[in-house]
Amino acid sequence: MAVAELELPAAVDDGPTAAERFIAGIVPENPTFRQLLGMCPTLAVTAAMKPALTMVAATAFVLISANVMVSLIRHLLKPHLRILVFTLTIATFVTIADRLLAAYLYPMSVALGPYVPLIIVNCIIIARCEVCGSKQGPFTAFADAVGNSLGFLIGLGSVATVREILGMGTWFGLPVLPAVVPRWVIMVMPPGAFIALALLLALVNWYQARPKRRAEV
Amino acid sequence: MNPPRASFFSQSWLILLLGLLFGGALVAVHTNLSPVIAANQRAETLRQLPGLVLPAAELAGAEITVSGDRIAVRRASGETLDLAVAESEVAGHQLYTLAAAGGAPLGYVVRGIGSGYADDIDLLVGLSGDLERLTGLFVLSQKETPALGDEITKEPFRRWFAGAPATAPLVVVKSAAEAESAPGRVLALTAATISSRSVCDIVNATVAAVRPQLAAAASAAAPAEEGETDGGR
Repeated sequence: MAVAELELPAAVDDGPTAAERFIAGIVPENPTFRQLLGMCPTLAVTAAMKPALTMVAATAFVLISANVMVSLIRHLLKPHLRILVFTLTIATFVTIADRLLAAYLYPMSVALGPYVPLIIVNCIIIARCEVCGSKQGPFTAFADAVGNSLGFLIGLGSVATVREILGMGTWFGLPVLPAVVPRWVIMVMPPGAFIALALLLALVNWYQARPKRRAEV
Repeated sequence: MNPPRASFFSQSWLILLLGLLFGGALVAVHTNLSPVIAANQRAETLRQLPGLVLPAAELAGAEITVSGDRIAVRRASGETLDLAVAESEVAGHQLYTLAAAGGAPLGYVVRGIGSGYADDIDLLVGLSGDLERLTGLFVLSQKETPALGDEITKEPFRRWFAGAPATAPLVVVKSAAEAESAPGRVLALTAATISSRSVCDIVNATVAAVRPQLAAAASAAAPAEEGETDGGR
């Protein structure tokens, strides 16, 4: 078949509503705990809350901007070129986020280093562009991106909370554990990210399996 | 079937248009934010200068404040050291000359930029006042591989530079025993030899370009100062 003959299926504007998309991104389809997407920042920048929240803010900016932009041009997309368009769009907004951080949050930009440019390869963003942005209207795409950003906030925030409190005895840099409580230095080191994520995933899976177990009993 | 050229444009017009639009947006962002980012980098650079020239023991617990071209180092003992910074360009490199207020240069800091593994590495290298040895290294920006190449920013790697001779190029080695055997040897980071070598190449090129000119300027200034002193007698 000639490439020119390929066309995207008609936009599926009768998919989930904006509210459904918004809710789904926060808990039922949480990108960190249910879809296991965006693992690189989840493991790499969660030693403390401040860098974790800065990463969430930068990712949210890119996710919302890219999803809405892709939605606006969804009728013009050709199936075989859509990933190229997504990547071009995401890369542009990541560069803008990177420059904004360097201009207005310079110490955090230095602390996050290459992880901000790496947002380009964050699967959450390209997945939302593919699943929602390229198929539904801008309002639904916006709601979807905000919901997933909040879900990402829950993911990174919970991992960073566990690591910072257990590792340094602080939360947002403020002391929360008495000095007599020993610090688990491993929690702010790379293995601590895996341990915290695994424990939280186990907790989420256990909680979600409870109604099913009750029904079986 | 469409002619090839028509087919090309019908397939790619959206990408070309988006490329133009996004390119324009990035130019606007870059134009507006570059001065702010440059000011941030300058402030960060000035904050690092004392640590690149003064011995670490003198800076333990010290608070560094930058104001214009003056740097105040408030030591833990309460004593304050006022430093003056003179900025110039030598052999295409930004040069910062650090001196105690009204005194001779304590040392120099030179900015060097070169290719790393993933992107350019922008760094500062400290030179002693007599230009005989390196006094420190600080990486201003880099985009090396996280957890591997980006270890160039950390103390275990940077420590190899302080005290190394400035008279000979640094050599990258892969064993700790070899690195400890003589000054001027830098232990390569595990799994990041290219990043380690890139930093050493940038430092070597920067020092090789700047040091002869600084030495020539210092030797030209020395007789003039002697003459002034003699004339004063």
